[in-house]
Amino acid sequence: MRPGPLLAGLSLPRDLELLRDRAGEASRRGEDLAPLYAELAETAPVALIDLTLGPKAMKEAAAVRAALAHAEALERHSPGMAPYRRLASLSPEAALDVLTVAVSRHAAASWLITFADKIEARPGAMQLAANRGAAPYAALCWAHAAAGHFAALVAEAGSGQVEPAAALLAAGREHDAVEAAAKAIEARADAPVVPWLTSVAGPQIEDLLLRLVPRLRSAEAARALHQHLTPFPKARGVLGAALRGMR
Amino acid sequence: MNPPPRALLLGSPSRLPFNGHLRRVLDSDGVRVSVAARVAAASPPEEAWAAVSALWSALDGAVGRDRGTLCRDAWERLLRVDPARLGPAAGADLTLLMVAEDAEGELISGCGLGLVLAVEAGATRELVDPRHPLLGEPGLPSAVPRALGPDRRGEIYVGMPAGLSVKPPAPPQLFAACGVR
Repeated sequence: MRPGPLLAGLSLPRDLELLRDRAGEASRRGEDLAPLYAELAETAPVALIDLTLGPKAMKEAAAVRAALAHAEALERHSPGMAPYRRLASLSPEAALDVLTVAVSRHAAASWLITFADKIEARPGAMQLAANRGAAPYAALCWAHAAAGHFAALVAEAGSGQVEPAAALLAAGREHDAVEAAAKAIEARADAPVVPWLTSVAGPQIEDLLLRLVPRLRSAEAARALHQHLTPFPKARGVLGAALRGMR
Repeated sequence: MNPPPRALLLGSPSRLPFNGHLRRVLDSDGVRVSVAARVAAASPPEEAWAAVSALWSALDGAVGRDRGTLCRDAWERLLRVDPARLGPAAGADLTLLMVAEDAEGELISGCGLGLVLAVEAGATRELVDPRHPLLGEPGLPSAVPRALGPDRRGEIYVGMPAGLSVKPPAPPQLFAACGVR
């Protein structure tokens, strides 16, 4: 097989410096580096690592995005968060793409919690969404709450999951927990809000429920919550009255 | 204003410390019973809550002319619960502390308790020694358990589920560890 144009006449690793110059010029011209990276992944992985993660790695966003196609090869050289941290630092413009690939390959990794901090507008949102319904979901909610990713947890609750509200309550964020609980039950009427909140805070959560009731907008959500309010007579009464207004 | 609970249970040191916890106070013409319980705590919160709801419903309507009859009535109602409604362990993991009181005194009973603390004026003391029959293995008993009539009235009784290995903090942190908000 004949080498691609950027590799023509080069002998690697001897001509690595020359390759870096050619690749840099090509990248600046807007050429797609994907074919080069694909060839290097097959024939000269050390050169691929040098171009993508090395001290003089390509910094253009397109180059970083092209490198992400070879995440597996990069991880063989440098496991865990390291290759992703390096790629994100090379091009802040491509950082969100870097995080996307990292989450897709390591959905439950604890290092994603800190990695997301400087990348996502709502740090943690991507990882939480990727783990919905998976075994580590609750633990990740707690970890993101501990990391202060409250906005992501509140937003995540809009998917109908109740763990974000519970994690926020465990972190002492009552206001956010109530908002998250309302979002969860509005999104999924049978979201087990009361069981989870009592599991975190104890059986005495009537004050939280009284704050939750006025946030409900749909009769379906209100009816579903009402079924769980037998031990909470005040909240049950307030919600019962609200339900009459909703009909 | 609701009367303060006389019976509390310590939460477990976990992500969901109060999973499967119930707390209920019932008044019957000046006679009062306070119940704190934990059931199906190892189950997902939805299942544990279903078990809690079964216990809650069972206590509905408990009555008595004095602490003794109210205590007995509450237990008899609990003993009639279908074990299948008490989670995967069918109630074999139940811990329950019950304090029945009237103007003359109080009765303490329970199951699954590893320790019971009496809290008085911000200080705690162990209510009974470790071999006392008030303490024992978890599980819904087959008959109404014997009740202890303490010499001194406590303000609040705090139970620790058998098998739970935590050092109870001093009040007021003790109450927070029981989920008192």
